[in-house]
Amino acid sequence: MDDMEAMMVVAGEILTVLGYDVEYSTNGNEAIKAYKAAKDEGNPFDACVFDLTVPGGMGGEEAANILIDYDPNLVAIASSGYTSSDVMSDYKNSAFRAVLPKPYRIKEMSDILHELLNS
Amino acid sequence: MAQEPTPPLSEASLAALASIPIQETPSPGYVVHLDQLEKNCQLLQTIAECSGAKVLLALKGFACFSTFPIISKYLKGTTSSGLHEALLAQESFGGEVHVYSAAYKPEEIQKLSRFAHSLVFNSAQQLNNGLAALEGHRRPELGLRVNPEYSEVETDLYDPCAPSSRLGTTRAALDRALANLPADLISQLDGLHFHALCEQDADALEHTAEAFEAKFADLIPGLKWLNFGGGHHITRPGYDVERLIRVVKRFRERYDVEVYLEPSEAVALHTGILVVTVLDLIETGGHQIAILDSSATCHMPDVLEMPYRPSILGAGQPNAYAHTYRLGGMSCLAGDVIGDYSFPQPLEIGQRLTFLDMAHYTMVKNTTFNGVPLPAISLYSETTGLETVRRFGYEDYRMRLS
Ligand SMILES: Cc1ncc(COP(=O)(O)O)c(C=O)c1O
Repeated sequence: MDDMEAMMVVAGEILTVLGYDVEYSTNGNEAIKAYKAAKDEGNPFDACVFDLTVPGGMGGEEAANILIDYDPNLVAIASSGYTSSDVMSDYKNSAFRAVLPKPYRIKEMSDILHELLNS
Repeated sequence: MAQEPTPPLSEASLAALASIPIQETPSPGYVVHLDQLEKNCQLLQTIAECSGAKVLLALKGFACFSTFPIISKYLKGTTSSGLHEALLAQESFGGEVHVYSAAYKPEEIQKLSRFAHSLVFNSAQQLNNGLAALEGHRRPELGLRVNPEYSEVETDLYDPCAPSSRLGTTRAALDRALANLPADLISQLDGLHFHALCEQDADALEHTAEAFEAKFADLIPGLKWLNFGGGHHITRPGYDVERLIRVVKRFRERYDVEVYLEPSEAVALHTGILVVTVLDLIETGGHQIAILDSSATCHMPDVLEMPYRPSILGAGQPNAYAHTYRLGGMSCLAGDVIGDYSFPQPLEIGQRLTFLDMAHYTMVKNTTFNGVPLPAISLYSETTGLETVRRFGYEDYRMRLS
């Protein structure tokens, strides 16, 4: 999830290159809907990458908090820049399993997903 | 295609700019939204990561140096149009300092040679003169700006490939010039540069790059880099980033070169506002006119040069809402008119208005014509709030005269 569409597309490209199937959303509400729909269809998401800040819409932190009540096994990754949000420095007290500083880097994305999904 | 001076803001960008506390800023005043700027830089850096391109900030469009600590975390460096911008780049940004100038003086080249990563010349003659000026000095990497003679730019003022453009060397001019210059001149080059886009999508880049390749491919082997200039509207909603990545990758792989992109507008697009105040309301010639404490010619000259009509937060096209006004500036220029706008409520004297998307090609182009005060510069971020980093006064007007 990323409110900047181009960023979302490029992140999706990276994930596709890494061999994952990708679904996109540009805000928390959309992400929650997509997550629930995928789970209901029996094809749940392995992991979600959330942009933390979505001006004027639901950001990643709120979405992950809602989703973790719905699915305690949620694998949520927080992604943001240097300046925003306490989550990036203190994610252990949040609904996130890991943080991925932006900009997205192929190797970091690959390592984090590998670690989270194979543990 | 797509040359749009005012591409629509995404909902999130609009919400971010609307959240700036405009009553707390000086008026007139620019406010740069740092979180928005950072998002743009993150996208540019991610594109760099996926395509292998090196992305530079072109200072000509955005040189608000108090934001450089953020931008420089993401971009490789800067590109300047001459010595002064390059000095600012070296002092406040760091990273690679690239320079292109339509013509250099020998003493400028010598000063630049101390710290520039690369100097790009506009003609073979300038390159030859530059090499002479560099004798006995540190030698930056050297490039030549070429004119691919292909352009999809619709506005002549901004079309560097228009017929008889002085910007960049055509293949024919290059071959003619080389006949009278040292035989090894071209072998001194480290890179080729073209800049042929303005607010365009990746399809225009692809077509231009193909035209460049058709004319100059024989010169590429052995070069270290190609610079695809600026004008890439990368951070505009809907820009085809995948195509951009594909084009860059193709060149990097086919010719084994680095590829530079040097956007300005795309770095600062949708990151800033200009806050102004209504000083007077008058009626003339059947128009309701609002006079602002700002000016198109002084504070947003592209409005008159391009020309275009900047968007205002909460306002619509004339007659879209009940109250239509023509907004005019403080200068004596009869044409100092920003445009016609409509508002849901009547304007009031003292009311503040927010011009959207005013970070790029504004503060770098300002003038103090008529002694109109320059807008202050503030920074805003959700976490740190509003900070005014520069206020201008009488001294700034006086300083440029004697
Ligand atoms: C040589 C060169 N590079 C880069 C740019 C930046 O262009 P833009 O702000 O459209 O990205 C310009 C703009 O005129 C330019 O002339």
